[in-house]
Amino acid sequence: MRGRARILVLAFVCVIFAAPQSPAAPAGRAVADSAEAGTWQALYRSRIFLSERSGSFPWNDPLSEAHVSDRVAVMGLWRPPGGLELFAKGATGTVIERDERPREGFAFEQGHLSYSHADRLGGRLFAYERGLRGLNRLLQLVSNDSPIASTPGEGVDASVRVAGPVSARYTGAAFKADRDGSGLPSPTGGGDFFSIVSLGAEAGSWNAGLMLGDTRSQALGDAVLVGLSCGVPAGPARVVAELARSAAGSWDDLRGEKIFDADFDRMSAGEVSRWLSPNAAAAVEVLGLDIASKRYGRFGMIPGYRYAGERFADAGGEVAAGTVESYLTVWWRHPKLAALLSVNAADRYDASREKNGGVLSATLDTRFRGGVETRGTALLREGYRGVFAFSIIDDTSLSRVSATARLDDAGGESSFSYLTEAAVNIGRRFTLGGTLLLESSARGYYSAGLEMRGGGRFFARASFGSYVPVSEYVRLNYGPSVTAVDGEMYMSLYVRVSLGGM
Amino acid sequence: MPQRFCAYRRIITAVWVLAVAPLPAAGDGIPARFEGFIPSVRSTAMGGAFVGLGDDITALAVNPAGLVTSGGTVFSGAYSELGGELGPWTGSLAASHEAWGTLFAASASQMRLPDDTIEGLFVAGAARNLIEGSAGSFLSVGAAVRVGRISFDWVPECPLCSEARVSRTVASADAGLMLRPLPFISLAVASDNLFGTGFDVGDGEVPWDRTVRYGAAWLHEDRFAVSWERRHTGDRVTEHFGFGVRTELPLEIMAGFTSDRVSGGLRWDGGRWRAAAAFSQEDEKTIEVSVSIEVFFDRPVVITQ
Repeated sequence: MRGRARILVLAFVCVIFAAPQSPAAPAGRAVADSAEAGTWQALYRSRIFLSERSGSFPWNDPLSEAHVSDRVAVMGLWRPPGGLELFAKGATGTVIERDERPREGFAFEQGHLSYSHADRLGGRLFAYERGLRGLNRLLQLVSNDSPIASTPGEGVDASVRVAGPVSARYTGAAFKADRDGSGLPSPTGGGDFFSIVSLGAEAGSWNAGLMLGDTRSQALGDAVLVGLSCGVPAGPARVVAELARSAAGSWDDLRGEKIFDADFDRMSAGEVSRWLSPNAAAAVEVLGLDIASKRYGRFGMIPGYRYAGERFADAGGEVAAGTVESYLTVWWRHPKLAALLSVNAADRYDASREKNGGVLSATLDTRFRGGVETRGTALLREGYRGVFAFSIIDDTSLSRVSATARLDDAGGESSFSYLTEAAVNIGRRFTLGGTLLLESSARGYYSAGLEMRGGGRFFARASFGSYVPVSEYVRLNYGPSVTAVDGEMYMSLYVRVSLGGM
Repeated sequence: MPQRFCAYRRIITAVWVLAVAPLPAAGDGIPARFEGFIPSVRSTAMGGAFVGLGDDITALAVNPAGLVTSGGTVFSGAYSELGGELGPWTGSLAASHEAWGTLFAASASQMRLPDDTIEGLFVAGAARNLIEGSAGSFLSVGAAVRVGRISFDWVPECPLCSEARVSRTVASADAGLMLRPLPFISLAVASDNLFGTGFDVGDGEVPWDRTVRYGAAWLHEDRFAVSWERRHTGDRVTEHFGFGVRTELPLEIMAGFTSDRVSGGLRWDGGRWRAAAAFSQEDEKTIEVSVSIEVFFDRPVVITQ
């Protein structure tokens, strides 16, 4: 479709959907489902983007060539009684996200076929989906709380829970490595497949788990992985421990008496963690150490220890950076006010830089009436600038405003950064918003936009500014340093139209 | 009430003395320009887009007509300085009072530069609503007398002349107009230093620019304000944008933008008093910080934006 014709289509769609709707077509009303257990949705997204991009790596930016990008996606979900679920999604046109390569023609994009029975038996065949999860808690390789792989893959995921406390799970996934051919390769790189078998058992405050993995790493080639986890009660508290080891090669390379290659003879006064193998990772945390008082509120502490050897490869094939960290988190909750103070002290060793350093961070979160929240943060690291940040958020039905001020202190060369994000609702259909960013006392940026919604099926946003806001709030509040934004004058029109009931 | 009047007269006298009293100093050269100003924390926080907003006694120095939204009898103090111990350092005092349907106000500031040049400014004026609507719309006008004083160490060009501390005082005038045809729309125009005269020093002059401002503000449900101002100072033209949001707490979050420079601030409204803090980016790696406090004596129940 030529650019001019696309703009005309966009304008037509905007006019149609922005027009007041008749009572016969109430806002948000879904189109009737094709079947009782099935829903579908058709989604059209388009963006016209004009910018004065400086272009550090313009070959990585498809939008520097195609200023008009759009796509149509059609998806369907069929969920008959009995635990079966089928989802499929196909799309055509150019993908809008910057990290993906433009694609022409209609193609299958994502889908899964899953089955679950009474929370005891489950299986899932998936294609180009993420969200693969393991069983353990502390180590990133098999964390319950984070996906093993952030890139979409395809494979199978099956789990079974036997007689309540015992469970087993298998996940096998393959990835298209370097799928769009853009960007520089990462220093370590991830693998293009992995498979994991995990077994777990729980009884009261006790739990135990075993994980066996098989992966292909760019750094190590074929590698295997074994992990153990356990949780045991210790008085009022609970100790959670995990241990894992990877080895290049096959399972034949991980046999013998020292599967985890632990050797206490390697310990010395300054290197207590040396008993662990460079191919191993370990973590220990003590939970539940807290006391409560009606007068003074609630106090608690969480001591912990983490170790990741410099040659340890996780289930995704990434090689760990090689760190040792001992930490203690102390928290206090005010007895009446909604205020939580958290102080974390850690001693970290970075093997890649052979550098040891202490870290002290403190966070105070408070919540006031009327939807106002504040957060104050201090981060002090040995050898780095001290960081002090304060943010306030006001979120009401009328508006949402956040302001963040951050001081990177370094004696006479302190730098100050500031971010304000504001959006105010004008009626039910329109939202006017804008952001202002001062970066490191030096550069100022702005952006402004107007959003329009129509009946839950239509969304349009027109925006412009001197930078494209992405995640500056997170970077200023949580980042160890202020990273520079790409300053570029831009104008953007984004339109999304959906039909269907999903 | 004579006693009350005497108290105000003493305050005004003290402010006048603070503004114009010469201070001993040492330095060199004639200042390139007179830049004395009355610090306005709200204006600073909102990027200088203030001419159509008011709701602050420092409107006296920006747009005297905006005084009608300042809140009756108010006493205020403000301080601002550039970061990095670069200076200048500026302090100010201001007071206002309403009588006979007219707001009277006076303000004085003193700015001290790193080379010990001292610039003082005194502004006294009044504002009044000419037309008042039933739903909060109005048309107000304001006028003020503006007196500037500069004091610096001057080394004349003649070889036999000795260094001397020089002080000069110049008087001028301000005028402004504010129109709110609807309670949520504000239009304003103002000019300070109408006469545009500088300070004569020997054969030369320390210029003092006239500033003409006009702008508009949108006041949404008395909670959200968006403001724009176009400012002509000498031959420079700048655009200013700002917004402020009042939270459920008596706290206002403000931010502004002008000439690729960002500013922001907070203002806490404690009922009888109000405190504010703001920053603005002056140039690369230089941040100006301002703080102020206002005390109200007969604050009206309903505070207009």
